[in-house]
Amino acid sequence: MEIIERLGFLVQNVGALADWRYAVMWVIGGVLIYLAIRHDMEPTLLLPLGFGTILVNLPFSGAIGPEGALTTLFNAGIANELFPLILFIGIGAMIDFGPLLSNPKLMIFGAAAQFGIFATLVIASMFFDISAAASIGIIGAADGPTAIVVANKLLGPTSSITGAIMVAAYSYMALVPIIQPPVIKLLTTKKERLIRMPYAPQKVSKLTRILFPIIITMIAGIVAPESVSLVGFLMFGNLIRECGVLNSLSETAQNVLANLITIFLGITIACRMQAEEFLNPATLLILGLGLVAFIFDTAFGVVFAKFLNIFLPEGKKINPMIGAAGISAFPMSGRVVHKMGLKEDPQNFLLMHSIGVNVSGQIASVIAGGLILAFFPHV
Amino acid sequence: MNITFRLDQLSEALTVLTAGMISIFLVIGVIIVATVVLNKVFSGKEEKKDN
Repeated sequence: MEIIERLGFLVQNVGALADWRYAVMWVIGGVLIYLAIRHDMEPTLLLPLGFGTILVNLPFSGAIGPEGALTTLFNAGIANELFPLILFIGIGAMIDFGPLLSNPKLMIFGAAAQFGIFATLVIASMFFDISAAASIGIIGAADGPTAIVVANKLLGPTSSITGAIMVAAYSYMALVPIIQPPVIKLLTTKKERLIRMPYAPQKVSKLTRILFPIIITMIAGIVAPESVSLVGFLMFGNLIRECGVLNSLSETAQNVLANLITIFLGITIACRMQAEEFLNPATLLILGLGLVAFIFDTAFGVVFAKFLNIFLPEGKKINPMIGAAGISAFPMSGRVVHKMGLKEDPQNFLLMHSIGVNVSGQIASVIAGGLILAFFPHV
Repeated sequence: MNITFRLDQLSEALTVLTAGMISIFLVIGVIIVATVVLNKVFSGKEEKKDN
């Protein structure tokens, strides 16, 4: 009898599996792992996220709860925004602003492509409270760390929709190669996609490269002080890269630091993917709105480039596809546009232009995040 | 979280859209000007140094 009593926990654990929601979350976790391994979609994030989803959706999982390891990691790194900010140092160290500094006018496309954030905010405001709508709109920043910081500040880390926002932000970044091409094709003609843009880089001095991250931090900090931690950490990473005397730190930030944080970020975000929180109509709606945000970003970037072409003389026209790279998902979006250009004309190399626009999208998305934080009260 | 269709926040959201896009273009505009100035000022100095 005592043996049966002692084995009672087994009955309890297996009995809990009767809740169908666990099985649904395991399938979601499995799909994320499948996409990461089979289709190489943002594997550094989707694989830990997928495994974490399974981990937190086992009945009575010891990984969550007040003393669970993932809860501890969540409180230590996500709730206080530490992980995404540290990751920004690594991202900043990876970015070469050279193509952008060489042709600064490209930055205007980074601004245009943030339209998706605000358009989605308008649509989301028809279903959610305005602060929640703003947090959902920021999925359109196509930038996981910015989405985490904004959602945490506006809604609080324990909000029931924060998890869906984080998952949407990261998942759609991985899906950029699938989402963007049909939108670009729909909005451009074959003739426009064939426009060639000669690359004549202007020489950029080392001093300019060093001063650029400092000046951007100051401008962004003065205009939107809320964005100063986001911009500051990104630009600090870039300064380490460009200063020329911290090569070892730059390499560490680009590789070891970014990898370490990414491992913990993915699996820790899964903390917000518990079945009871995640499986509800709001999550589905947020995932749908996230897709809308990416489509609007892409579309407005392309349309803005087409608009500018009206005023540009023949020979100086812009290939409107590069407008789509203003979405922040770096460097996927830049590569997608480059590949589309090559597909239309194997001699049309748009890479340096599209990457220049893509890094400007990174800067603009962080500033947009800061503006959203300035517009709405925090929790 | 309950989802209900509502239009009472629409005007506020549209104001945020307009203010947000104007602000982002303004800030990026300032950054473009700053970058052009940086390029103009320091590329010349570096060339002199090289000579």
